Amino acid sequence: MLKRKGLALFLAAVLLLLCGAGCKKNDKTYAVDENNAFAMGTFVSMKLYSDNGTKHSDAVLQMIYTLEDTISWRKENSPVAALNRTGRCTDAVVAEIISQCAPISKATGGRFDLTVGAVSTLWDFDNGGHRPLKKELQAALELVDYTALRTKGDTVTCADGQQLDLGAVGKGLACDLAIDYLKATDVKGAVLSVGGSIGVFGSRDETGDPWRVGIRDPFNESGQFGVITLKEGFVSTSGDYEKYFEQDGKRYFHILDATTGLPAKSGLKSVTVVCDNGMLSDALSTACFLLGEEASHPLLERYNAAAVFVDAEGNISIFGDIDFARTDES
Amino acid sequence: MKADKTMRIKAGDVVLVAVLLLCCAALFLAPHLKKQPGGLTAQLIVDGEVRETVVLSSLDGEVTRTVNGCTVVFSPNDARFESADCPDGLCVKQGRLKAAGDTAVCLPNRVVVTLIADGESTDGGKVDAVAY
Repeated sequence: MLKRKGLALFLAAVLLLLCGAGCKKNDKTYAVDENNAFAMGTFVSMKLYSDNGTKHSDAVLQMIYTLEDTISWRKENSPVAALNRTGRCTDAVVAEIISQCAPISKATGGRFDLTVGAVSTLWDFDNGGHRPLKKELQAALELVDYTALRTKGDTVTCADGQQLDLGAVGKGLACDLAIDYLKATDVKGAVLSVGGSIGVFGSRDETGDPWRVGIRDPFNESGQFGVITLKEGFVSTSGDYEKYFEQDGKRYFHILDATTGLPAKSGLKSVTVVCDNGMLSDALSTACFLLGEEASHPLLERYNAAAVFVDAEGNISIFGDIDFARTDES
Repeated sequence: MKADKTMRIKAGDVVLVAVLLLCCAALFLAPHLKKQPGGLTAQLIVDGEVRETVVLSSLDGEVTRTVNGCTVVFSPNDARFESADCPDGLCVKQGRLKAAGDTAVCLPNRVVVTLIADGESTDGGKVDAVAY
């Protein structure tokens, strides 16, 4: 009798222990410091998780404002505005961007080109957009040539009249700077969104569960077609729906092929790139959109990046090591 | 060989173990069940600040807010920009937001509507961010 009671108590203890282990998974949630703002010409939001709820989000926002003051051609006193006016500026961040993007421009045959500013200004997507005249476009294309950009130390020079537009990399770079800063603090985990570029690290609680990043459905702009799950890294999407207008029955979107001055004709609706560097994920998503899927593979391989492609027929394809699930399957 | 009578399993033992198993299952599942998202909450963000939080499932009908030149409509199942005086109108073209993580932004007017899942569970399709 005693043995049977002992066995029952032992079983009960084991089961309760197992149950306790299972329940503990969600026990400890970190305090969250949440913030939203408009910066870099887009919407910025972040959730920073820590043990004691320390506030770092204001410092992150300040960092993003400072970056905007450096790399936005719209800011009159920025180094990029100075470069566009005078053909010369000295700034470590701008020099670094140009150095890192040159191989991507080369790999795309010049379709991806940071000196596309004269062309993008003509299209004026930020103010509703309009199709430029052919002769206007041809004149602007004369100024587009990434090989004319030179760096020596922190000094950057370009050809007369060239207009640098860092819109294809700025949001991803903001994610890089923010995540680098946060990793050196007591923040245990963060998810940061600068426009459509996302940076994540750590975890929201002690479970260490990975982050889930939805990808906007290019055929249903208010919805998502899939989710990428990742522990750490950067996710950027380029799609034909983000900025566009219709004129004379035709739809024009903002991802411009710098060799033609026209919206890309790669047959893609969207490309989402996952990479361990935010600026590169941002640049690569644009570059891959311009190249089309097949031609993007070597470029993605070179940067050890992965991607989700959606073509004009709605076909979804994956390249590289990525944990992706369609929304209706996840 | 003689069987040990003290080790023979009786009906009471089976009942005891079954009750224990049920208790454990209930304890294990309770926190998970509690955190299933029950619905959606919409945040109206203006100039970077959360101006209003609306629990969509608690609405009886449509609720309209006009701010910074944008008219936003919340209804029990979705939220949308109904109109905006911005040059591109992309926020209106985005249509109805229906799932957690869906976000519509009117950049010129600095107005954002975003949906979040009720509860904190990562189950049920909740996302931490959306790449767009």
